[in-house]
Amino acid sequence: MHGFDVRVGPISYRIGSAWAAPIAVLRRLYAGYPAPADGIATVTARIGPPRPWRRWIRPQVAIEGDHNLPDTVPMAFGHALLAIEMAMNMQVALGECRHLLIHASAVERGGKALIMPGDSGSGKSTLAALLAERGWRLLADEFVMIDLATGRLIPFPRAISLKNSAIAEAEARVADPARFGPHLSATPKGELRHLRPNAEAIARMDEPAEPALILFPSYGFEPASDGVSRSELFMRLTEGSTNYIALGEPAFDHVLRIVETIPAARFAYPDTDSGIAIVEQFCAEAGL
Amino acid sequence: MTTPTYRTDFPQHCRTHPIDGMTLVFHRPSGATHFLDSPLPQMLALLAAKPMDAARLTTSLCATLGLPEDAEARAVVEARLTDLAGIGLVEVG
Repeated sequence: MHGFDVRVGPISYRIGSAWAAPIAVLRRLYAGYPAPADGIATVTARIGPPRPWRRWIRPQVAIEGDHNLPDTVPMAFGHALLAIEMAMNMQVALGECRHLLIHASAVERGGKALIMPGDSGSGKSTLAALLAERGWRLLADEFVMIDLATGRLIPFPRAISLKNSAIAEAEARVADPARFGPHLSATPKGELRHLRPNAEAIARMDEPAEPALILFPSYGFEPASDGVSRSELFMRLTEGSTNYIALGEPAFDHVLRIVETIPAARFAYPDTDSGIAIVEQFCAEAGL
Repeated sequence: MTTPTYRTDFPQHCRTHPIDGMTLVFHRPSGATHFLDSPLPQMLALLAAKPMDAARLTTSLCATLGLPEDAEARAVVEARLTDLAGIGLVEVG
């Protein structure tokens, strides 16, 4: 088993693979990230062949780890990096109990965090990735973690998963090609390429931020914006959380606090530049 | 066949919060969160004060809300009691 240990915010991963090549790619993607504190990783994510012969013959990768979902479909070996990333996500989605998880991206400026929840294709990752190249600090791409003691947002700056047209958008704006992972074609999520967050996001991954604004983006529509009622906000934050139910009353308290104290809105945008302009306008009005 | 009596642990085993004209409820025994719209919070409040059957609850609820007590009101109360029993906010005894 080939391995790589890495810490991303509060999560210390032990990543294993039956093959050497995917680990080498992952090491390059996560270059500059710290090792687990005291060398001890507490979350295991692995990929391996679903059947022994699948290690060599038309190799396939299956996702494994501390927490598993039954009947996960094996992926092509060429998509091994995506499989590892999915394994890392799965461990957090199914196992994280110290922080409330919200399915969203997040960026920070001046200690205040903008949270962007959204379904796949909403543009939340693209907007976060590009805002992080223009004065914002990336806090999260997929999982926003809320500290149950303080209510603050704990950074979890994993590699950003760029899909389809977002890849060219990021390639045009990020000068350092070494921050990109390999192109992955025809994956279950379409065209895909990972982007390592910039050095500031990695260096400051232990600095929490105060949630200050929630925006729900919708990519591919004419510009429009609207408020989000408190009840809808509560519904959308909790339905997008994999551990809200498991955490019980403390999670209820924190979502309620967010709903009652943090302004929220939704907006539609036709392209990335107008999306960023709308976000900046909202943030200026909210004091971010 | 005896008429069922309904009782509830609302609100002492719940966290409640008014939100957009509804009542947001976190039910500690089940760990479930519910959005309740009228007349459910009023029904639970009446059952919390005193367990009762559907007929008495209909009478009390109509008096509380200033609505006529008729067959439709009784049908609605019975349907909503079934809902509340299904999510564990009332017990049938």
